[in-house]
Amino acid sequence: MGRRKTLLVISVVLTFFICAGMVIDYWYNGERSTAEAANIAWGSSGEKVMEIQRKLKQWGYFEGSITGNFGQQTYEAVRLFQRRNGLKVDGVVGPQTANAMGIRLTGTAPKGGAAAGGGGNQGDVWLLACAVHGEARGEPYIGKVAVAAVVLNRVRHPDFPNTIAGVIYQPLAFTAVADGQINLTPDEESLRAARDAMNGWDPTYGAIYYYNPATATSKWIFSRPVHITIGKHRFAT
Amino acid sequence: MTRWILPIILTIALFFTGLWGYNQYVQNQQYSTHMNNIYQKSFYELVGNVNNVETRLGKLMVSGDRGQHMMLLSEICRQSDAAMADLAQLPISHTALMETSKYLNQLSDYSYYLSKKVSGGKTLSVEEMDNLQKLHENAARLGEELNGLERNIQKGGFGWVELSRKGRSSFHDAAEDIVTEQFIEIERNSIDYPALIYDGPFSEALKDQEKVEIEGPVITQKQAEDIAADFVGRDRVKQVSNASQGRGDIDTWGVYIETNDDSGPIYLSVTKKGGLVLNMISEQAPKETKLSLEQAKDRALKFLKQKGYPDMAPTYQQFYDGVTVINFAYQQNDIIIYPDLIKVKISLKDGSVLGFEARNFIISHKERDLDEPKLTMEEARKLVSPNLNVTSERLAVIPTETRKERLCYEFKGTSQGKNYIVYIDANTGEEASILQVIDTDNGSLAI
Repeated sequence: MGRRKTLLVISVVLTFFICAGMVIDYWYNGERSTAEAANIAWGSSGEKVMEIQRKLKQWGYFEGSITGNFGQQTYEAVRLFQRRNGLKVDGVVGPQTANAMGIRLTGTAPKGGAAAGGGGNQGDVWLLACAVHGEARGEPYIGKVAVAAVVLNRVRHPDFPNTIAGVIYQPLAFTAVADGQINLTPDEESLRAARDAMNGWDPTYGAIYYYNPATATSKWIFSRPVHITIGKHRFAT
Repeated sequence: MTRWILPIILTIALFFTGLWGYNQYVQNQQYSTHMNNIYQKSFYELVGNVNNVETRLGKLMVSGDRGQHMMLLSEICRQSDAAMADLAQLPISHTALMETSKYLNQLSDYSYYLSKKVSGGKTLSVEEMDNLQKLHENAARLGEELNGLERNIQKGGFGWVELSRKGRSSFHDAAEDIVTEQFIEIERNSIDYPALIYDGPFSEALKDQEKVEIEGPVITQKQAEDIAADFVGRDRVKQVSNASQGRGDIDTWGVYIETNDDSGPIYLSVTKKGGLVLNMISEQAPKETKLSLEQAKDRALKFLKQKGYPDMAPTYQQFYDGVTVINFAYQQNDIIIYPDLIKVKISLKDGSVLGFEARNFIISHKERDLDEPKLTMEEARKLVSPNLNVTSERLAVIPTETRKERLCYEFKGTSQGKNYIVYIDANTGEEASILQVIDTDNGSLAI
């Protein structure tokens, strides 16, 4: 009888977990689709649209007045913004475009995003900070600036794409992009490091690669001339 | 009865597990298909763009009309740029795409440079036509290979998604799949053209970092640490330790300094030759604003004077989170020399110096022989568009994209409520550059 009871308990627990798994799965996907539903596109209006128009105007994409109504002009401006930033050009402010603009589609704007001023494209600073946060968490501050500098050096290098988004989202280029860590909200230190790099600080002297010698698997990467080692990373060209 | 409970529960569990698993499978399939379609689209667009570029280059070879040249060159520029963007979307490792990327980027950049030249009233030289001929041959070979690859992909249900899964890690060894292999083949056999030297950001002339010559004695790490401590201010230093050396166009010693006010470490790099501080980065984030921007600017000027950079003039300034970053340019007899740039970051909380960046200054600084310009200020002003309401003017040396320099008249002005800076070449009268000054809440920025 004792064995039976154990089996019974196990099967009940098992059923529970499976059901829980399904619920979580459903909830997770449900969450996703509500986020999608919150996309801002032609016909939308309200606070968020005003925020988008303000940003686009500030960066020179949008010429019209800030009305809070998403119309032809806003649509054109969003498309231009997407084209310039290597995003999918559809005129819809979805999660990626919003991220690049440094705004959130749901709730209030993130604190960091609002403070991410200081020169250059605010969306670029935010995106760069995301990459730094995903790739170099736990590295010394200077190592974070260095990772941001590598992204910017790649933008200026003929062997790589020509926009910040293009470089960061190039398939197989960054592990943090592949495993989704890029979508974590960057901390204040990553934002600061991204901004320092945008303002011209480059501790790597023009490096376009970095790798962790303890985990790198490619023989090729070890053959590149190393400029400097910071924290766990070697920076090379 | 009780002996039925267990099998019933297990059956139900199995049923739900199956259902859940199937659900997952269907979803996974949907995402995979979706991703595959995106990759496929990028690939088709890449093939299309490369074929278009090839045709345009071919037409360019047989056209003798300047207007036609200009149109074709700008189309080549746009389409090769688009091809580059498509290429960068494919899940193929960077090592297999390097040469192709470089080819597309340089082709776009070079044709932009040439279209600028043609629109300026010049014609293409024999050498440039030769280069275009070689670039055309490359485009033809690349197009052929891509068409072949396209047929292969169409034949066997090729999955891009599998390719992207295979290479999850960055810098992985080339995967053993046909597509990556074919791209490596293309790089090896098809891409071969002369080094392009021209006035553009992707010119071959800029790729090789030459060693920068700095005058002065060679110093040791210990001396570098002393220089760094002096630079930060001895009274602030708690502990000095060495950081990694830098090797590149300038060799440096690295120094870490712990300050006694616990504001986090400061990192400095000091040139091995000459013992100059190349850059300094502090982790400090003041978050508080007590000083005005003017006070911060004065503080930065005083700091520069003290460190041996007396003739610097502030140009642009931005501020955020309790700090301000000020760009300074060297001034020689009232002529502003933009290439000799130093950036200083000042805390708006207590006026302390949080960052310093003198790389551009160290590389380009020299006393220049600035000859009397051929044009006078009056003559140059007439060349500025009448739509610009000029508010100030002066002589300036500006950097070109290939790190050369140009003596220009700088006209600042407004047009339709926006601020612009127009540069007129002081010798040729050519409009060298136009910048728009964007006044944000965080300071002014020129783009």
